[in-house]
Amino acid sequence: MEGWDVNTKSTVAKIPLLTTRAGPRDGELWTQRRKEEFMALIKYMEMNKAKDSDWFRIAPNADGTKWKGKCWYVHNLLKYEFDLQFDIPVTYPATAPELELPELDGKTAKMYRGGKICLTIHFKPLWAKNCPRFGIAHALCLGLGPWLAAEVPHLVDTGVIQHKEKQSQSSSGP
Amino acid sequence: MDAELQELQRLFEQAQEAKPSVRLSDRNVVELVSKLQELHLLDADLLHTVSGKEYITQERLKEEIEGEVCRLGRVSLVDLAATLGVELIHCERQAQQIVGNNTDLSLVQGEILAATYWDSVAEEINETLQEAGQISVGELARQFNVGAELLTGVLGSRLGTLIQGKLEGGQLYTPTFVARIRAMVRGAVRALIIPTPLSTLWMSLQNQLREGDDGGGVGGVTGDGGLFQTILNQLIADGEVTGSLRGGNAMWTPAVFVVAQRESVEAFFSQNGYITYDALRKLTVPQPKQYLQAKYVDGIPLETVFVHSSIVSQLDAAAEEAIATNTWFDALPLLPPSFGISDVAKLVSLCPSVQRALKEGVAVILAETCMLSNTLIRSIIEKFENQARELAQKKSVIIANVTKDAEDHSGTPPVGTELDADDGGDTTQGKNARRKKGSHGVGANKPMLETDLVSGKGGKGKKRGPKNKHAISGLAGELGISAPKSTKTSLSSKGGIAASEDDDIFSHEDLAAKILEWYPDMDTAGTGDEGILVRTLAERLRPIVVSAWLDAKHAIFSAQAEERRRRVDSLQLKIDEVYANFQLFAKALDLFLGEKSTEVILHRHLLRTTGAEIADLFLTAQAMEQKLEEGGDAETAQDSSESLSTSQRLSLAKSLPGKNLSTKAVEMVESLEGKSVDAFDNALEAVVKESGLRLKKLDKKAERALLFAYRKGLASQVEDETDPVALLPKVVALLFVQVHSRALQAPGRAMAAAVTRLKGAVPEESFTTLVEYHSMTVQLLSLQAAANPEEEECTSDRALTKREVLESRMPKLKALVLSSSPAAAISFDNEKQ
Repeated sequence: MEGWDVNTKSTVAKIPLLTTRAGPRDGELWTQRRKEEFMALIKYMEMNKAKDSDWFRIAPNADGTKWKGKCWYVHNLLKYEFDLQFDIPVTYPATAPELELPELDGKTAKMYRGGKICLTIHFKPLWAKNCPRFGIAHALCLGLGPWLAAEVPHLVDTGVIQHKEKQSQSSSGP
Repeated sequence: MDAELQELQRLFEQAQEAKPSVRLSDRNVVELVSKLQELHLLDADLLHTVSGKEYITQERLKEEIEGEVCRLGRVSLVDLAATLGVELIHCERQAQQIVGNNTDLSLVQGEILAATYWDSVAEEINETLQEAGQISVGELARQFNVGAELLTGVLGSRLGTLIQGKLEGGQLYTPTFVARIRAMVRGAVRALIIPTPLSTLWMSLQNQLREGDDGGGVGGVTGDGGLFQTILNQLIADGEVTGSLRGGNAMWTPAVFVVAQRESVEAFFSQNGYITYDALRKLTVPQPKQYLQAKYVDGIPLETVFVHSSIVSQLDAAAEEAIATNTWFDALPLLPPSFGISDVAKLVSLCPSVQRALKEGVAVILAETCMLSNTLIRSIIEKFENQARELAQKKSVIIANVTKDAEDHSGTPPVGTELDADDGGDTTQGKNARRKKGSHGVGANKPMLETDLVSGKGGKGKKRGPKNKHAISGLAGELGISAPKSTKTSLSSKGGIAASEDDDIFSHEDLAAKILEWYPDMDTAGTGDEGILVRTLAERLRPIVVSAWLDAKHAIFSAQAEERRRRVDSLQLKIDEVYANFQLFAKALDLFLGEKSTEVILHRHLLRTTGAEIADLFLTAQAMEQKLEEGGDAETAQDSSESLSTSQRLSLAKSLPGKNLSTKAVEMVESLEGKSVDAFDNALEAVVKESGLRLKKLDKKAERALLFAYRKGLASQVEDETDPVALLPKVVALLFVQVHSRALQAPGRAMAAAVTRLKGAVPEESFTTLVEYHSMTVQLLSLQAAANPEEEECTSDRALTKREVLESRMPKLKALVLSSSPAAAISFDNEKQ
């Protein structure tokens, strides 16, 4: 589990593990899986709220294959918010979901075409090793959280992204 | 769609919508607080806890401290800082404020102490105290871990209220305990009758207490006797015990003791008139002198004793009596034996009569305590002077006898003899003895010892025996030493040796013995050593006596010298006279120069007669001189001047003192036996010179006077002469004087030659008369000589007739000389001139 900071690791360890190995095409099992996914997400969300580190909102579509929402990061007392979306692949849970930040598409090198974020080399083996126990919550915790913490300050510093208030201020100011 | 799933989705949405709890980081909080302070929304004096994670306000701190104090009653600031987790300095500051505002609290040595705490402590102490009877404050302080002083102060304010007891010298006592101690002290002090150091008293009391406490099981012992001391002071103040504390309150002197002390001192002093300081010290009076001086103003403080003036007056009476009766007195027997010598001496000097006598010089104080009247001393001195004079007289006689004795014993020269005699004739040690003697000569008593050792044998015994019967015994021993020296010195001059020799005479012992003989009661006078008075008196008198002795000796010596000088003078005179004659006669011999036989006869005759006379005169005078010097009495030595035989002369000459003198005298005597007048003359001159006299050569004037006297005498002799035979030589001599102005001494045998010598010098008829007379005389003499018993009748007859013839011719012969004598003399004189 190297490659992540201590905080992340401890948090991940606290998220309940999933048991059902089922993808979107598995019918009833998928429902079971979705239940487990929700329980894990609820727990993770509660943990985040308790630690005052709430950083995302997501909601699934009807069959639970497409998830949409927002995520944000506080840097220098400024909150940078981005749209978040991802699909559950057919091979799920063997394949991890690809998290997309479409706003930042083309703005950083740590991103595939279409706004999919590049994860560390450690992510995939870890995910494979923990299939089917890791779910969406784990993916967010181990993938997007660290990515945001690493990229947002860099992007802000390089001026690639700007705070919305400032944008509005600068646009509405003079 | 599964309801359950929907429910879960809804739950998830709810969870997402739920408000997250806001959490601030420490850093943010710190920033917030600093921001608040910046905005003056918070007090500036916000405190941090020790951990640095908490803020605390002063009010809160104060509250907490007060709470702690209320809870515990006694809080250490260090502990407070630890429990509250606040810096000590803030605690201290706050504690000071709290204590300053609250009078019930006190801050002592980093601890906050509440009054209530003290009350509880006091109660606790009281409980213990009531159990034990006494507690040491130090112990309590240790127990409660507070300063003894602080505790004392706290206890002091609560004594009598919370604590039923008494604080005394760092000890707490219950009243019962105090009462007990008081009773003990009172008993002990009342029992004391001699001065006692309080420390020993307290010690014994403490021991008693400890023993008593053993039963009760309380180990507390009173500390340093402070309680005892206070109780004793109270007792004294209350009059329960009588006495006084001395020596910085270290010594208890009971009043009964003081009274007894005073009474005994008073009793002794009033009875005896004195008291020694030793006695007072025995009565433990610390400073006897001052004590007595304060007590008896009219007393006299001495070194070891304090006396009443009555003793002085007593002594004074004795002194007055002694002075009045010209005797002496010793103060020592008049005073109690406890008096020291110096004290007695001082007392004596205090007597008014003694002071007066000393001032007037009628008395002296000797041996410190004895007073002698000067009259007494003078009388003693007189006695000694008499004795010295007597002794000097005797000694001079003895000395001479001794020398003579020594001489009789051996033929060696006198000085050596004496020394040998000293050692009893031990010749091998003679030299050593001499050397010893030399070194001991000045020393006082050693020679005396030596002579005592040998006195049994040798000349010593004799010396001492009959001759110095009257010499005092002390002197006798020294005579052996002084005698030879005095002869030696008297020969030269009286020098320093004589003085040193005199030191031995009248030694202190002798004087002392003598004084004792006169005043036997003086023996016990003085202190310490027996006869100290006599000794000091002897010391005092000795110089006077010795000088008297020296004077006497000088006087005697000078008298002897005078006598000797007179003798020498007379001898000189006699010798001069005889020698003048001798010279006169010797001159006459010149007339016979050439006539061998006659010359020899004449020479011999002259030597036998006049020469012998001179020699005898000289020898006997010398011998006598020697005897006198040796102390023989002059009367015996002054023997008749009859002529001596040759052997006598020789022995005399040999016995003369001095080698030179002796040999020359012997030479002279031998030359007397010879035939030459000149040889004798030389020898005589030598010996006389040696003896210190001189021979006077005749000068013309003296010769003439002498010749004239001789002629006068001869003429008167001739005139008075009745014997015809004796007349002839005188007539011839007279004629010789008249004719040749020479005095001829001719024996009968030379008469013929003398007569023939006159031939031509006198008138013819006178000459023939002379010749005839001469021949007749010769015949007469030959007749007389030839007379023998058988033919006595006839020869005597013939002689008688011859004699008658001669007698008949005598006037003629006389006339021959007498008639012509003046004329001849004058003519001779004229001739001379």
